[in-house]
Amino acid sequence: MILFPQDQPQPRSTLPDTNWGMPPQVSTFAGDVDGLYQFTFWISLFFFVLITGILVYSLFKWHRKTEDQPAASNETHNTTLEVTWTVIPLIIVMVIFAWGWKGSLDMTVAPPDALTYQVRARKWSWSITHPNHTAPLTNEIYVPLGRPVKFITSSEDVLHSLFFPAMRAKRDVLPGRLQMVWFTATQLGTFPFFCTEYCGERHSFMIGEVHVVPPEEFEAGMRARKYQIGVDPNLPAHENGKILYTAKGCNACHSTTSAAVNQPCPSFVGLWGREEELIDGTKVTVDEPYFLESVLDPLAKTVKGYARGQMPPQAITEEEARMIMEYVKTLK
Amino acid sequence: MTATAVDAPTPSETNYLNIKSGFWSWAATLDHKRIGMMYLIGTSLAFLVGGLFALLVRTHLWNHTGALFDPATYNQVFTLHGVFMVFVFIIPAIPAALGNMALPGMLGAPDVALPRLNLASFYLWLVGTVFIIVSLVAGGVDTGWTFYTPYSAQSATPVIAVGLGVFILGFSSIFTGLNFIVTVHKMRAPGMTWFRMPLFVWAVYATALLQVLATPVLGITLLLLVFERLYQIGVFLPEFGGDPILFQHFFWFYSHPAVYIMILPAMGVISEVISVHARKPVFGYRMIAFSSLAIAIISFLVWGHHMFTSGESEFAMMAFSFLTFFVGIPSAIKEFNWVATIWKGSIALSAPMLYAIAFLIIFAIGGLTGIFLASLSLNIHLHDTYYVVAHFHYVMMGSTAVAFFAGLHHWWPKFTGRMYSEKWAKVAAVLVFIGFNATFLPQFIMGSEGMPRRYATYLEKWTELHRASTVGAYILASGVALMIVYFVHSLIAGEKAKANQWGAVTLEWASSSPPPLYNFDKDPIVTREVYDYSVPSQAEGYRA
Repeated sequence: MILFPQDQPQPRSTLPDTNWGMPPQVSTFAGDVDGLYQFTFWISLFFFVLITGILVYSLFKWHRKTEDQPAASNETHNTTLEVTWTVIPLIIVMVIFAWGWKGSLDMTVAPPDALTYQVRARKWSWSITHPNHTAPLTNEIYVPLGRPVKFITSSEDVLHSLFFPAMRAKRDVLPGRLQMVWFTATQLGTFPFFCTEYCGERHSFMIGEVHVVPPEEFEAGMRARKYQIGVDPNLPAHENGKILYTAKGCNACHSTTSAAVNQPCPSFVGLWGREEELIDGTKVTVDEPYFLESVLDPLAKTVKGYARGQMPPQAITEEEARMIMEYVKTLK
Repeated sequence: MTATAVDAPTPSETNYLNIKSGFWSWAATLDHKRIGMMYLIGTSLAFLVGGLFALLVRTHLWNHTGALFDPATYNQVFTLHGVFMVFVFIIPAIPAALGNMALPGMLGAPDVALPRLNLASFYLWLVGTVFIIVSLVAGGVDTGWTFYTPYSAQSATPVIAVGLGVFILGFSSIFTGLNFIVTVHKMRAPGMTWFRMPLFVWAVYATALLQVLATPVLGITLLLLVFERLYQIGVFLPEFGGDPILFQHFFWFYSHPAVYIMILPAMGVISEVISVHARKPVFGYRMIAFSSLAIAIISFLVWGHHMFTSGESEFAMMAFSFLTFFVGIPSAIKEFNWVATIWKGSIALSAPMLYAIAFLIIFAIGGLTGIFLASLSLNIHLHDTYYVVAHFHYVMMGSTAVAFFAGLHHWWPKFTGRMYSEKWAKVAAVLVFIGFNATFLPQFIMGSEGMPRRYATYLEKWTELHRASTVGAYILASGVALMIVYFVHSLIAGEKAKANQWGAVTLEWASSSPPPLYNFDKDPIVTREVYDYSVPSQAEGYRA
């Protein structure tokens, strides 16, 4: 039990409020979902007021005043009344059922012209490859206004769930199976997306932002492959390593600002050249072969005090791993 | 209700509490009331432990960055809250504690049909609980009470110990259910026809069917999970050819009926309490009895509504959504029937009745918000948010636990032989009602705004609502703390209870308080309809 270490930036997104506590309506089906929400809300409120009204009225009206007061009525049933209050709710819920079902059918089928994004989830970040791009962005999505976009998702470890509150869209992200979620954005701006399937220590850090941009701007960005973080051959290796540290999602877990030890994974600060004890008791020095092996095959060695398999296998090349290593060398 | 039993019961010299004393007279007892009492103490302690974890969760969420723990510890705390409340407290609390004490007396029976199985059930509960406490000492499990794979197959925490603990608790539940089924079929007093059984008996009977039929699936699932962890047998883990979603199907095939294992007996308690304290027959008795069975049956067919975002086919989603709306109807019928029972009653605002009224209001909200979640397109948005958390707490805590409190206050004078302070009990009921709503109403708002569940940290904008919820949790806790004080005072210095404290007509009140060892001094014969308050002259069953 320790105070929460504050070395990770808290997700900066905010969600402005609108009607009924629902988030802003930023997709083509948000209006329909909210309409159903309001319809159900008013029906529920009506029945709630009816039930509690009758209840409270009864408590005042037939409150027991003397010890041996009998009930004002001993009626045991009333078939007409009972059939009525069975059939009316049944009709109402069937309307709500049909409405919700129709809405969900729209959500499960993406239009054929939807732009395709690849989403890979892992503990604890999102890696998103934009259409026409070759490298991913981490926790950032750019989508054009008014054009359907679909996300083909997969997980590299446990279950996650991709949730866009403002778009009313959600789908669980599974290991070993592709899933799809889609929407058409209807409003410019920046909106958060969350992981909504519990996935461990940093579940609440699996938050990202989706930027809805004008279609022309998106078109240009897509052609120029602007929505990816790639290495720049003109930069020194450790600078590229710093870029990859974010792009590859190392920042979801490994700190570069504090050497705090009580973390699900070791800080990069002061790591280089340190002697570590492994779970089998042997000692290793953090040098080039050890570092590269740990990045490229995370299950090979586990340092004492950390869970084996905490770090999932990474989609990373040896060249990229070397650049990250150069960056780690600078973190004294 | 019975010709014999309505004669003024002569106070017995001995009762089930004072007839024997010493450790073994309890540890080896076969008396259903003593076993029920041991269950009551055990499950109440589990409730307090689970409640303590709940307060830790709420306190942690005071700040958006987390006020108490690192996220790993937070995950263990909310998991233990869930495991204790669901498996150790609420599933056994009403059937095994209140049911054991009241059900045989209600049937006019001297005991349950299988007393040894009853005691075995208690010891299994104890062993299962010990497993869970051991895992707590060993570091606490962090999977959530749902144990979803593949996380639970990989977690470094003691999942196996907790899994085996819940497996054993499951057998305890099966034993209780089996026992009650046999008891209801075989131990009814002469003249106690099926439609003269009190509704609590119907509810516990429907629950028992669920316990016997659904719990084995949970047992199989948890064993498979244990084997998956130990030997990677490839049932749930995709890298070995398994399917993590299969676990969810197995888990909810039990755990959805389990929701009704919790709420059905609670509904039974409410039927009893409202009838007695409004001094009126339960309106639409047969409809309530049948809706208990209808709920039990349909509840087996709705598990898929926990998985609307998991990648079910559109057809499965449609079917599960439809059936889920369908299961809401019997619950609505019950709610209307209870309100109609109160209508034109002779309403005593006693402590049990206050809890029953709290139940009616909270259950209405719990049920109505279930309609939002059953509808497919709304569910997609609300799934795995605080809206779901608030909804199931309205049903499990606000309805089931509040009904447990109603039953506890209702039967306390009968089974302890003493009264508690009615004044303080009413204060506690109001605190529980206000505290509960203050805790969970803000969570509906956060949920519809998109706040995901099981978050150790959250967006800053939700700070105010989280704080309101935390304050509510402390009000709720103060009500429960007050309850402990006056119950302990009642045991030590409480006024002696009357044989029929509330003027009830069901059979368990037709004996002295506390009842003699085999419940009745002479075997009762039932000659009247159930809940017959129409004949005040047979007044011993009407007025103490």
